[in-house]
Amino acid sequence: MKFIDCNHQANIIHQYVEEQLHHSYLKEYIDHPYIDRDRIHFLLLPFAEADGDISLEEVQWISTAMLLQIALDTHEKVTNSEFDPLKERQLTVLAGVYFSSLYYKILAETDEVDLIAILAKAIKEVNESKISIYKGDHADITALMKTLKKREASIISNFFAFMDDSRWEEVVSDVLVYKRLIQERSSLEETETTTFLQALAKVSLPSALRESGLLKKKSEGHRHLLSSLDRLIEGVKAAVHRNMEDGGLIAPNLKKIVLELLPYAEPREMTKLYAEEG
Amino acid sequence: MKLNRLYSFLKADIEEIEKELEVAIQSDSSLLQEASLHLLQAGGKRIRPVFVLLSAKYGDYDINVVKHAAVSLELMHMASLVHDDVIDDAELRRGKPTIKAQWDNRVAMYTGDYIFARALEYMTHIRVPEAHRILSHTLVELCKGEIAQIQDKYRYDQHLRDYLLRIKRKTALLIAVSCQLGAISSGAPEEVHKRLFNFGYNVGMSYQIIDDILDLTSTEKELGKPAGSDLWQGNITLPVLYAMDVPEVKGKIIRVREESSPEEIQSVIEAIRGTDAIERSYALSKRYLDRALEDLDHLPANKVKRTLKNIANYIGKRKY
Repeated sequence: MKFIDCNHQANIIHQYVEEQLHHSYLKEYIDHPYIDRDRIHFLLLPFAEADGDISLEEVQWISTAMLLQIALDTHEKVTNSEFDPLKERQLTVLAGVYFSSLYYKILAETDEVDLIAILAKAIKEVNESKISIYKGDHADITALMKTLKKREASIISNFFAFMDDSRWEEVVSDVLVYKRLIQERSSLEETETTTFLQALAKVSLPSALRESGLLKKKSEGHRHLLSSLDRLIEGVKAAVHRNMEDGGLIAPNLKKIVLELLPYAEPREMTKLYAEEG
Repeated sequence: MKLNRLYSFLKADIEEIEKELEVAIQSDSSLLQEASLHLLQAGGKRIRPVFVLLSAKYGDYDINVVKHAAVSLELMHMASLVHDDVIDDAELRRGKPTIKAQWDNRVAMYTGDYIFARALEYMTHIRVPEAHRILSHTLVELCKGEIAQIQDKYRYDQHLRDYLLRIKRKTALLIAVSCQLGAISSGAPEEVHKRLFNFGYNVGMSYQIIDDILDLTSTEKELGKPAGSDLWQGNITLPVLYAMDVPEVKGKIIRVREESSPEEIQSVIEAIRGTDAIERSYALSKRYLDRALEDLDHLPANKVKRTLKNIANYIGKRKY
């Protein structure tokens, strides 16, 4: 499939997902769910060598994986804050449940019981990873990164397993982790905390530094955490490059997406320097 | 008489389901497992698995097959309870702290989604496409019902049909589908599983109406949550709708808000009890129950039919 064709297919899937997500009452109260185009492209990879358009059934398969991701992302927005407006919280919970029931309904209508099972396994893995990150029960950074990879990539990895095509799994998982780390970095810069940042602080900073206030810009804890993140970003980026160089099978559209993404977060000089200083 | 006495001949299979539920919630995450177990051990009537097993008796009954549908439906019900407690900000469920109260909202969301995933995994052991089409359609309807319930909160100009549609989606459909999927998973004829669906639907409607009556007539101790919770949260139930036929009572009801005090709620409950609303609600519940019993008339006479009839009658008379 040529890149232009992939884009066309991605548009069809995007449109299909949009239609499924539409709910007149929900949209009054909750933010429109974010549809990650990169994920659509990744899910299209097993079809990259096909001639012509993918079938409606295949559009539905990919769309259900997207809906599921959106459902889980929606539930991630439910916080413990007492200050969140009640109605928004209630509808956020229900929107997530609604989107995940749509995944089941679409696959049930196409009689694709195996994909229902494999994506259910993915939901299970994502939630096990999420709670593990939330509770911060990791011995070290390596263990935390392994859990993060599972959280970010389980749905796509399981979809590839369903397609019996594991060629892209490693590189796509790394790219998804990379994208997440960039988002985490932005959160930190905007002094917003996340479950991952808290877990990272727990395994990478001494408690005295954690207590110094991670979210206070220019505080020692904040700078240390930023530097840890930059090292992780560099490490994942290098892994993606290695994967792209080693694997002769990288599809042109994947390469294009990855190359567009990777330069996005060059660490700034200050944090680079800080990292070198240790 | 206790409900479980009515189906004592299923005792071994119910125990099997109970054990399987514990297996189903085992997780690599000790916290997920602990939170799920917390809910599982809080008990519950397990009415959905019971309907699955009983209905399956109309086909080629094999507990090793049917248990997957029974466990799946109970897990789906459990997942919805965990999410509902976040929605309602509920502190107590069956007299015990909810998952969101014992831990927090995030743990509740992860647990609810985890249990939902396990429910789907169990269901996929049933390799009948029709079963999945029916169940998935029901789940979507259930969600729409819950969203409509939020939309209708404190909306006092609604009609009986709004209420009936809401409780159909909220309760009756999952009970109806429990009956139907039991029969489908054991290969019972279409005529039988459709009849069982109707039976479950009518029992479910009757059940929910009684639940809504009990919210206004029972004590906190009996309910395991404060009396009048539905009213307080703005859920317009059948007795409330009927009571609004009396202008003075309607005037009190429409002043109920989230900010109302316990004393104000108690005064409104007493005003509702002073009308014929409870009596009329029982009468409508009984009409659904009668329809359920009529559905059973079309099924072969056997022990299962007698049991379904007894359960339906029990539900019609339950006091908490």
